[in-house]
Amino acid sequence: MKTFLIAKRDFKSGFSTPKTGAIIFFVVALISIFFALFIQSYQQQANPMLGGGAPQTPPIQHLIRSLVFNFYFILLLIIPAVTMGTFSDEIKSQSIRFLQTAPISTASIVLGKFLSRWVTVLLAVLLCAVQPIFLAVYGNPEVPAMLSAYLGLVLVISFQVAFGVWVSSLTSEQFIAFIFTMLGLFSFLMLDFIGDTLAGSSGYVKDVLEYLAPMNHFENLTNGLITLGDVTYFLVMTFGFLFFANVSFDSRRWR
Amino acid sequence: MLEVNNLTKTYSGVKALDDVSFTVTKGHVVGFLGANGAGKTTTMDIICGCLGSDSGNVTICGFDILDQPIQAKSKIGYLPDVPPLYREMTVTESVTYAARLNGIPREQVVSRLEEILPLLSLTDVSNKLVGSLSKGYRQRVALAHALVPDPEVLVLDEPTEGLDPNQIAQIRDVILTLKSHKAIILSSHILHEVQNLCDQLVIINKGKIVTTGDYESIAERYQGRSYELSVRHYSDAVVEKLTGLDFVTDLTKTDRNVLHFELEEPHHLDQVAELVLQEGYGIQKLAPLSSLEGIYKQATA
Repeated sequence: MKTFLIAKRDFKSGFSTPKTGAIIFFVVALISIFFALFIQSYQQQANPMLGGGAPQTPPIQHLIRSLVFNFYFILLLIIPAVTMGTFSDEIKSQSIRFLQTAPISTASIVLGKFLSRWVTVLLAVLLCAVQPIFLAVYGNPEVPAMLSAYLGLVLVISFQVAFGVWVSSLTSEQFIAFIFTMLGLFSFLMLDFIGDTLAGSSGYVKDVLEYLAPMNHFENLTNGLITLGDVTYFLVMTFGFLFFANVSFDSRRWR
Repeated sequence: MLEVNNLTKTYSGVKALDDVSFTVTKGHVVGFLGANGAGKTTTMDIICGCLGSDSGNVTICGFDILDQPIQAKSKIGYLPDVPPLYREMTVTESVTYAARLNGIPREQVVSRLEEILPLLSLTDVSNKLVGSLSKGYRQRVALAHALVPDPEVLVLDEPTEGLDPNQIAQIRDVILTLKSHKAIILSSHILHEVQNLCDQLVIINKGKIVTTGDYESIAERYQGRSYELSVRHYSDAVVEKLTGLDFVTDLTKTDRNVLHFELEEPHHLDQVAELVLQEGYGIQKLAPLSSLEGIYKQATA
């Protein structure tokens, strides 16, 4: 219950400055522009008269995939901006003591703060629901595959927000939290490529890196393939980083 | 109600607290005195669970602050030295949030606010943003956070810091009305304020407890040695003359014409008075320094 109190307060306070609004606007604007571009190239492929090659209509799931992949990259910028202040801001203004001395468990605090940021990002995604709805009305998408892609997006967001919350719990400087969250998320993106370059040396390292790369799990989901393994991966990553944040918050009193 | 046992805390090799122990019982206000950097805030942070100690423990109404943090914290109200506030909330929102986090049911929050806000004269600003308030108001909002769950133990770190004299008097009245059913510990370096409010003292110096006990017994212990003399016509020759007397020790000039000194025996006071009058400096005041100031000076010397 107290988790939701914290989440609600943090969510509301995010909108007390133009920051969160600006971030959401940024997401919606970028996604809309990219969507228009995707539609254009899709039409070119579908209609040779517009300059494409042989007439072949690609499945509409391609558009959905491009859309959620595009989200993934935009989120690399957005998530750090949303999560950077989670704890840093409160550590700096010392309002963290308000939470430290309230009769609530650390897990509630971390979870509440995570939820507020998670909902904020999902709100931006929800505002971009225009595009999939547009496709559902004018195209003929496979709805289950589309939902699977969006499930993937939600899971990726959970993992990334949890990562950002953890990084923010380590420092009192928002800017440092921003930079390191971005760096970290980018490294996770690169794991796949690193795995590829290391492929020659040892298969074992490559397997581990490929398993750790969120992109591989995300890709399955965008193809409409929901496996227990991929969903578990994201849940473990999410709760793993939330656990780290929990430990980091608790250990603050020993530093 | 509040027990502090053998706290030790080291910051990068420097002992900030060394074997600090004291208890605060219901119905008492304990004054926690010490110079800046003596360890007051560190102790209070440890009591409230913001900071861990290297050794020792704190129990609040029987609950250990580290082993049963939620139960212990629900019994405690803390006003830290820097008021922990969310600037973007209004006063009502902020106090409501504190009440809800402390487990006060939604339907009781309004009545609780109606008690607390007038008590601290916050009614006029209840719809203003905390960030737009002056320092004195913010301090009182933070105090409202600490008071709203009606805790059994109150820990106040310099509660009157940044307040004007009227507000200080008001806070003092609030503390005195709460006193009967709470255990209160407050730190301050405004000595006359502590003198008015507290019935027990804990004096800390360089991380060590120098003296504890009720105000009267401490006053008795330190009384009869320190004196204050103010002369009407001051000249530096007074100091020379007085230091010439072998029973006068520790002579310091504290103001334009005020001297503090210690005497071996109380009856030596007569000789001091005689000397000052003979030399024609004139006496404005000659009195034992039994106030807290004297105690504090001696205890932390």
